[in-house]
Amino acid sequence: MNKDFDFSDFLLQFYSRSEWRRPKVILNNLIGRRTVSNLFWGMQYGLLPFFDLFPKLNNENFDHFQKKFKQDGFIEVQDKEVRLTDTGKLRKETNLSKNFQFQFKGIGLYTNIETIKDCLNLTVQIISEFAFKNNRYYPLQYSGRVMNFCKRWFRQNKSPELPNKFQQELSEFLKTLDNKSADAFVASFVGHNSFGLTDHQIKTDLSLNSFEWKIIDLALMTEFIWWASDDNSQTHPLCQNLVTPWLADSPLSMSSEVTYQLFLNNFSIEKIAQKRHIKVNTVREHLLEAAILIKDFPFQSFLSAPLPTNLHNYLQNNPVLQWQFSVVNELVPEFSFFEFRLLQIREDRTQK
Amino acid sequence: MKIHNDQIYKTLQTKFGFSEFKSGQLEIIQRLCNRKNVLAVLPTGTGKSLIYQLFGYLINRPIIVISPLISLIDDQVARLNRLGEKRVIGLTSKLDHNQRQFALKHLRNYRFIYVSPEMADQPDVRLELDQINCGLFVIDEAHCLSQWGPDFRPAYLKLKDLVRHIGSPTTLMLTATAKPAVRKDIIEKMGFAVSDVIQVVHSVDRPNIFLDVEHCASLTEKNEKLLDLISVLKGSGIIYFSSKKIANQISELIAQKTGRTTAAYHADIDLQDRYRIQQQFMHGNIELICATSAFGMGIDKDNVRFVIHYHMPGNLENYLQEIGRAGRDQRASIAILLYAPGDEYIPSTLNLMGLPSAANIQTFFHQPESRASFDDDQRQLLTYYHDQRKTSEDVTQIFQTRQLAKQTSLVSMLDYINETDCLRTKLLAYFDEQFNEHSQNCCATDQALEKIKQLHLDTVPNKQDVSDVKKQLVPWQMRLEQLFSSKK
Ligand SMILES: [Zn+2]
Repeated sequence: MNKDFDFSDFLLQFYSRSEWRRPKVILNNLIGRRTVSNLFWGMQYGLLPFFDLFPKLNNENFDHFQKKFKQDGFIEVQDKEVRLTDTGKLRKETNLSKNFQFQFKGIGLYTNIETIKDCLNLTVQIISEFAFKNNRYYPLQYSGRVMNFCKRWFRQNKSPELPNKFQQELSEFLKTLDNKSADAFVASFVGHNSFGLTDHQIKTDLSLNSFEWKIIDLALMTEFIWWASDDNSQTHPLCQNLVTPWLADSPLSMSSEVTYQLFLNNFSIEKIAQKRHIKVNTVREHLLEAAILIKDFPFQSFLSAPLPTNLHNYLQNNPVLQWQFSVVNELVPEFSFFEFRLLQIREDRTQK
Repeated sequence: MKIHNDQIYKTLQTKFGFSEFKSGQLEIIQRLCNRKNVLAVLPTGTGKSLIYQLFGYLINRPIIVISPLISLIDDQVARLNRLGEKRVIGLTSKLDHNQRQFALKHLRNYRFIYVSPEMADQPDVRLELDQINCGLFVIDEAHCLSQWGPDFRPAYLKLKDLVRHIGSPTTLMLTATAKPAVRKDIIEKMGFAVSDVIQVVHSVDRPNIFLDVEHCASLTEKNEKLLDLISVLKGSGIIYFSSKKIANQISELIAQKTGRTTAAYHADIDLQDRYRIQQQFMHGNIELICATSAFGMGIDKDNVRFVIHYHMPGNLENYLQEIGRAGRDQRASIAILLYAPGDEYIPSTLNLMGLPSAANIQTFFHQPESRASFDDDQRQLLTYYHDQRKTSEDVTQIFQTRQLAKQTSLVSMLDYINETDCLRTKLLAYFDEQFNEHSQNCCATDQALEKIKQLHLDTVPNKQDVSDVKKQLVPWQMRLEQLFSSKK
């Protein structure tokens, strides 16, 4: 608590003292670049829960932090890989508890938080002005998609009771938070003759630094999204309708999801490729994405045969991240890279 | 089109809620009703957009407005929304494919169509613009047509063809500042004869804004001076910076040292926060805004009492525009420019409109995937040149020429700063206006503190506008009541 928790402390949690890691993978996951290689390494580095949380982060900004880490003696650099020093490790551990407070559960794999936040903000404004029977106001300016979505949502839900109902639903959510968080969550809303507080004003009032507020804000929005989308008892249909259209059912990309569904319906890799007019290799990439992101992925479909003893021994005697495909390929030439990656993913799963 | 003044005044009242026109507005509207092309030079803050908006309601046919910046377009669209006008569209790169198709297909249903010159030049857009029976063609910031001006924008040159392509509707060219040579150039570049266009030119002078330049020996002295000024000046003000970082730093410094409510306002502040800051500023909850120059600001605040330039802008056109935010209520106000040696070398001053560097141009042309990372306006400009099949070398050359023109403008800015005689005479002379009525309420150099007292800008101007309510979180239950419960 002696020092402010900032973005660099957040970043440090993804580095390791014992492993050399690639900073590029960290950046790519935080900005939500979805490639199998990124996801695979993101899984190894514990990044997936934070996927796409900082879409506006850029190279320049990120490099600035790398340089700073090096200057402060937190990391050592070798080629394009880095590793924590003892000082770095100490620093990381000091803030570990702070990092654990935030549960994002990989929300960025399902949606873009910013988009839903924009929608919520605009909807609050529209309903508030509606409550005061005012239709002359400056609407918040967001992307055309968001503006159109909110207009349509409003048209569909418009009724004299709407403001009251919406207030009720939001109250229900806010009761699930502690009071301070609930106050902060509604502080920035813009409405009729009520213009909300800026991020700067909120963080000052809460005595937080910019990053602390930013991450709390993201965490609260995440809470809201999970809460709104989970409505079996139909207690908050308005919020649910606001959120779920932006939320994917699956953490997979759309195309990977199609492939995976075909696969679950017993289509072979070759058949899927044929049917979808895509390369066999692309199908494999899609399946790897599923292996990484889907909890009950059926590994046994590909890895049913017992491993040859020499391969088994090699894998047993080395930590998963040090497995080398070149070695495996020499031991068992018919073993493909696809199977090798699946093996790594399965191993990582069973360890966690 | 025969339209009586009664009808014009009635529209002014019902659509805009005013009973009086500001100077120049009515005259121009009448000219437009008589199908005359008009070039209007009206100083900032005199309600230029009301002219074509009101005309749009009279003629009841779509109005095309060419505007150079996406931020300006967004701003105008939001303002019209606020007036209750829904039939308005900004055709910008912010629209996705579907929205764009939809907008183009229904273009004739919009009352006001805002579009950048680059967008207007795209074949599908041109095609649709031709179909709508346009009632008035408006060129906002028309000085962008002139290569003599610092804001020259190549795509404006194509407007000449566009206006003929769509059947030569009545054309209104608007600008806040244009010297005679620039006005002549604008008319020529639009392919009109001078006799085809009625020029309505109002002095760019804003007599109620006192002009002052403060020469500081160092940066430290400049900061001290700024804090001194702010401790004395009452009411709302805007402070201009050339860098976002410094705007942030000084905003913090002011809050700490003077306890006044401030906010930084620039491209890094996200959209919602900009909105909140604007609204709080309008309502006096925030007294000072630390803004970057050249950043469009959707603020219609009448009682801004002072504009301070912490960094000078790159040319007098922008300076005039920026100080024009002060004193729209016609009451005494002050514009203070703080200068320290070396300020003219600040890169962003030299490169005010954000011309991309040679290296960035290279990247843009040769790495298509990099284009997303350019800011909207730069991307639009570079895409335009790219589509014109210019090479990155051509474009670099073009920008270097522009750079030179900018440097010439900067020299005039420095001449103003170094003026030992009447500043207003100097400023107006740049716009080819004569002025020889210097008085003690006109201008001064290095006397800001005394002059503030003389002008009574050190006393609270308007009680109800100044709020010292600190902005704090309120319990969420109360906040929800504020937002949604109209029965109080
Ligand atoms: Zn003077």
